[in-house]
Amino acid sequence: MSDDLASDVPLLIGILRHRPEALAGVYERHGAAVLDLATEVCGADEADAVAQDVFLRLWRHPDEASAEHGSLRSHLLAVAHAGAVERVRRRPAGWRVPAHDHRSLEVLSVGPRRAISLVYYGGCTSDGAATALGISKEEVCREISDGLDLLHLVAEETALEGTS
Amino acid sequence: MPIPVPPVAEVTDVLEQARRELELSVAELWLRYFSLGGMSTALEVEAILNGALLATGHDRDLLAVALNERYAELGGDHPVPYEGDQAA
Repeated sequence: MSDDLASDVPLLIGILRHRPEALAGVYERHGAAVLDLATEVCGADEADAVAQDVFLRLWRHPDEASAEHGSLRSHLLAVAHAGAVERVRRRPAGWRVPAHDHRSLEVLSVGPRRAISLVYYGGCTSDGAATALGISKEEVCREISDGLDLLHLVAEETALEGTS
Repeated sequence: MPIPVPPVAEVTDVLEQARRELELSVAELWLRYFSLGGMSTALEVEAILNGALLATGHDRDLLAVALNERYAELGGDHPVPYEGDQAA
């Protein structure tokens, strides 16, 4: 059992026992990752609402997380992704994904690029992407996490270059 | 009886005073605040209550709403002032 998984189990048990400090602990550990993912998918304006939905859903339905295989973070990111995609789908027909969002994937290596393309732009679930890529769901989440980290780094560097 | 509107520097004292009066743990207050749309962590909320972290006006108001809702649940009024009340 990985260190992360071992650390999350007591928190998940605390949530099952309806202890607010347990949810606070989960949010402390995973809130930033969930928010980052939501921001990538649906933008900053709606990312807070997506993140809130993820953790409140965990509070109200902790059994969903405990029934999942893999890490709590994977579960939270999957829920966040589904929620963020749903918000994007509900947008008016005239809303367009900025072109640079697709081009930015070119900086990524094959693994993260394929995972992000399938899940973010192809509308695949993590399970579907795992099947399509022939890897585990955990590896899909890891590829996406690694890819998003690099995209953030590139975005920050681009922003710095713009101000220099 | 409503809590008198204090200078801004004493704002966190009002929040912490209300929390203790309501016998809410920091985590319980955080959960109410989070349910209202607050995005700070419980540690940050605790730091705000202790005066170690300066709250944004938005966070301060969310904490006030969370506390006032609990007062209302207990049959009380809304004694915790909001950000706009400071300028009144």
